[in-house]
Amino acid sequence: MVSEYRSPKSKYYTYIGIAIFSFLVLLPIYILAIIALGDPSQTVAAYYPALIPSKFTLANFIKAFSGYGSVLIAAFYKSLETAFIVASLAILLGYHAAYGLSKLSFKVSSILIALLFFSTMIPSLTIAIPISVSFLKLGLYDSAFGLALAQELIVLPLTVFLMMGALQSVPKQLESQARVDGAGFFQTLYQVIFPLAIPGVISAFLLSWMMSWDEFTFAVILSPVHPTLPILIYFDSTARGDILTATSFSLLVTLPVIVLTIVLSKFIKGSYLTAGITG
Amino acid sequence: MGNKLELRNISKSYGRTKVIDNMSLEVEEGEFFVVLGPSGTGKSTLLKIIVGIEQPDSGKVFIDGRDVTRLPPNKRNLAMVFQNYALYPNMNVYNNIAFPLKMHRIRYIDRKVKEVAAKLNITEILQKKIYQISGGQQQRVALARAIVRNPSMFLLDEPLSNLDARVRYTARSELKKLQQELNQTFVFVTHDQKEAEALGDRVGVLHNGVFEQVSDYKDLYEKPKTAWIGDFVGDFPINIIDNKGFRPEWAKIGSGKFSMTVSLSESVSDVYFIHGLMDDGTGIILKSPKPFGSGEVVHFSVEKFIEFKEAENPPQAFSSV
Repeated sequence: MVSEYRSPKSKYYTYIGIAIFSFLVLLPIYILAIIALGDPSQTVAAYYPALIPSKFTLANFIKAFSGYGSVLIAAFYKSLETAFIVASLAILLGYHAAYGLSKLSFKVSSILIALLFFSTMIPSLTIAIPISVSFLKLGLYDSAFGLALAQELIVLPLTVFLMMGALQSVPKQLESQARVDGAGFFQTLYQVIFPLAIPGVISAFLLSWMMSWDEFTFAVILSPVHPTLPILIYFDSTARGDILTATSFSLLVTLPVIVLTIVLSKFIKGSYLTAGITG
Repeated sequence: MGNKLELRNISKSYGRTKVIDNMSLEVEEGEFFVVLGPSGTGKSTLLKIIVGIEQPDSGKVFIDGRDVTRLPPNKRNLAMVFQNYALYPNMNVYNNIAFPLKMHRIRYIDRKVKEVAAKLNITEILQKKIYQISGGQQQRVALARAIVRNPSMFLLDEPLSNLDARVRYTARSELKKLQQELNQTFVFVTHDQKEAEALGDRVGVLHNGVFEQVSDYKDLYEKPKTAWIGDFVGDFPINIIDNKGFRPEWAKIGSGKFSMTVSLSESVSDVYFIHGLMDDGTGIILKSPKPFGSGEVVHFSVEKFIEFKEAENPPQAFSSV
């Protein structure tokens, strides 16, 4: 347990810090929302746009999405599919890799982790083209699964790293206890350690999901025919050059991230891990 | 009765540190065997080797006459209680106790969990979370989880050391009662002599990676094999003059060929233990019915002593000087 004395005053400073941070993070989303939902006369067309518009409209959305429906839904679905494959695969592979690494000595595991991150040092653009050639041969080109595999290159090192942290927070003795209590190696891995690593697993899931959701380079090269949502928005905003429809799209991209974060956040907090271990 | 547990020439090193050095041991069926030793002498390592979490560098472990050295922990059918209880924090008390039953695919889980809960007086807390119960209750839950599936024997790694003093005394006598009820073999690791004295049928004193002496506690006190045992066992270290050791109560105060200068008198219930120094600087502790002031010179004779030898021969007790 970490307990340190904190004066009542320092609590206020913490709150002030959180308030400033939240303001900086939330303001762009707020501006995005009011441009998308506010009447253009009060937002993009105004000399001095009001921070709180009084007239709202759905016209921007209707204009953006009308006659676009099926393409948009397909792109949204493709992004969703890719992101869930990326996140699930990252957890599946990352959990086992992280467990193996956590069993090695720190010296060896840190070298391996550094090697893992080596793949993120190569620009996506330079490997995306050879990958697309291979994918064409393998029939993975333009598919959600192929794109997910490529995105795994940038996602997986970070997921492994995050999950190693999660596994370190699981007391070693619980693993021994489970083995003594009759659990086999895999039973221990899935039924004892995994539930205790859930907060870290969920964080890793969320992070890899979001990295895939707005990933651009691999998506634009490996899946141009049936694009993902970010690619569609890019095409749209450059082709049509309409900021009002672009903001509507952006809001559409942002919403699932917020929803998923809120849904999963209850799993992330949890300092109950060490409760069964006293002393 | 046959041997429940046999260790044959076990050695274990961590890097260059030899933790267990060619150790052999036999524990009988139904015995309460206590491993006693100061901290950092490989007591826990020994348990981990028996249970299979650690592999010995060399040597063999037999349980019920079967060589289990290469078997993983889940195939040895042993139960272990760790020092910090290692309860599964994501499960409630009930599921903690049920866990070994589920892993061994044993039937009638519900009935067995409730039976063992009743035996250990934890029926009321079965639905509680692990972090909602006290240290004493956690210790009972850990014990319940150990005994619920009727393992071959029990290994306990200082299970009482995390308890408050008051709870510890009741837990100690309950543990002894439990062992006698179950009539099972217990190997119990501790650094606390009082626990060793109260619980152990036999006590093995661990020093430098080997059992320096294995006997009942009374013999450890009265017939220590080595000066180190004499020093370690007992409330006070054994007095040693010229390789001859004697306990405080084996000397008679008043007259005699030895003398010491008193430094302090310590009262223990209705007697006093007089700490002093002889002329050559040897520290001596004597038992006395009355206190002495600091600086007083006390004469004493030794009525009974044991002789420590360089060789490994068992020391013999004499009763004259």
